[in-house]
Amino acid sequence: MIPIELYFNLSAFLFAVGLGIVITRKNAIFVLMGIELMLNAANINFVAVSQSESGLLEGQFFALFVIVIAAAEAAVGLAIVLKVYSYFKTIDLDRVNELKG
Amino acid sequence: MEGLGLKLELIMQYFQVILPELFLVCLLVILVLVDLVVKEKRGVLITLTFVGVLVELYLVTHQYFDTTQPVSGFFNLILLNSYAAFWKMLLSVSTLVVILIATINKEQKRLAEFLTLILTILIGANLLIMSSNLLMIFLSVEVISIASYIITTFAFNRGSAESGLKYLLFGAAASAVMLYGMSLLYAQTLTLEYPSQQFLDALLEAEPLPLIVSFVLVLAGLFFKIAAFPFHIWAPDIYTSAPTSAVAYFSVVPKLAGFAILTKVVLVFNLFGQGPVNWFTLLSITAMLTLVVGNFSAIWQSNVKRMLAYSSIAHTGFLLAGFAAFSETALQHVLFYASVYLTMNLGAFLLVQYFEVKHNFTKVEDYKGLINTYPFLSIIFLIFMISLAGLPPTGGFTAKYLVFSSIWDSYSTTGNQWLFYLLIFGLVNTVISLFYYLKIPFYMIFRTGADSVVAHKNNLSLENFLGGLLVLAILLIFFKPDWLMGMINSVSFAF
Repeated sequence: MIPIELYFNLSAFLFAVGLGIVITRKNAIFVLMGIELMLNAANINFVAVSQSESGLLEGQFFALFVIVIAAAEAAVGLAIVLKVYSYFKTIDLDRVNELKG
Repeated sequence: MEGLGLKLELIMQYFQVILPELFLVCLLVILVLVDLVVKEKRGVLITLTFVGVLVELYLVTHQYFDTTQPVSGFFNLILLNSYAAFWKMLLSVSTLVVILIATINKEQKRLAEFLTLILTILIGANLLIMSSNLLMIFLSVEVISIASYIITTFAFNRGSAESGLKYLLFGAAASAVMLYGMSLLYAQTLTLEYPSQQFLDALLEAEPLPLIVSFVLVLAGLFFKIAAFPFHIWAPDIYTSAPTSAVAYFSVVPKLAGFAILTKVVLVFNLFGQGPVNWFTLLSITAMLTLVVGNFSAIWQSNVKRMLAYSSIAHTGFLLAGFAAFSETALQHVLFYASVYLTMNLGAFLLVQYFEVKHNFTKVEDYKGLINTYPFLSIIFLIFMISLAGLPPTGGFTAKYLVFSSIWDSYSTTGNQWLFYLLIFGLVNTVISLFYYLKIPFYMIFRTGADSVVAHKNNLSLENFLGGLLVLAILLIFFKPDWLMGMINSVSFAF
């Protein structure tokens, strides 16, 4: 039985990596991947807590819902990225910045 | 098998609780089908949506008068009380107005999808307001967000695609942060039902540091939705380049829904004042910063929609300030403020949309000398701006007065220094906001020029009628505030 602290450490690490990618990367696809990591970090927490106590199912359900939402978000995200590419011919976030502010 | 039958019967009973939302889902499906089948569909689509939302408003009003006791449904996933029903009424009214605003733009491409997405946001907002479970909060926030990302790109041009991408990336990151906060809360409490006793007991015994971290993460996601400092940076870009009717919608519906759930969540997080941090102090500070950022940035804007974006950030500050006073009267005054805010803000956006569609006006200078060609619309624009700034004789004044008085009351009973500073900040900011709110009326009335603008002579048009109606509402709220107040007084805050 793996102690639950290890899961928490893993998820905190994943979350930090995801957030780091979101903040530093300039490619829109990479940022989307970073967000995906952050969502999965939360999923690990949910599932780990859920399996540590018997009869606690809410966390696993939550993880399932998060997976579905992440897929929906990625679909919309990629559609918008394609749209941006057709206007700007790039998905570099530094160059897709014509609105001031 | 008997157990299953019982459960099905229970679920059928719960349908009563979400009847308006179910109706909206049906309407949404019908809209998509009509879009596929009917040829000349513009009028049909608009009429159908308008009547549908009208029926939904009727159902919600029914709920408001029927729910004297809080009703929970779907195994405590959602909870309907008169507080939630009142917010839902506000949202339905604003949806009706926004549908009318959208009809001004006859060139709007993909109208059926546009209306469907508007309804999707309304469903998400309604569910968000009623949710009493962290899973429900996350799901409804995502329903609102994903629909909003798509609708942002509906101007079908360069700027709108760029702002859609920005909104998507900021929004998805914010909701991922909120989700991580929720997972930490779940780890500490082993339950997702946040108003429950188990949740509160576990939090009261939890370690302070993880508790604070998880609260801050969850609040970050909600602050993003209502565009409060420091998560407001997305708002100006998105407001500038999304379709104006969608912007009018963003500035009211997701914001008020997010605010409603924020009040519920913070009341729980505060743990009856026994938590490690006084969250209302944090809220006062956030409110102050939001006010300052919103107002000071708005002064320098020349683009009307960008200015209104900062103005809506400032109004978030006022809503938060009212909530930070933290009493039952304060919450009532916040509801009052929200009702007035939606009226005047939608009014302003109605005129912005009209002039943008008809004359392609985007800058403040474009409005100069407009009083000669559009006397009526100029005067109602002036009234909306006066109301947004908070001067008499408009509802905006009454709303600000009530919010400030509840902050003062709260300060004199608790003696919390931050509330005093908040009061001073709020008053100073009201004066500052005059500079930019009165800029457009100033250009309209005192500058001449723009002879090329030819008025569309039609006094019985939609914008005259709707604008007049909204102005009437604002003036009525000033002269007869007890009508609205009487309705709000019957809202019970029992969760």
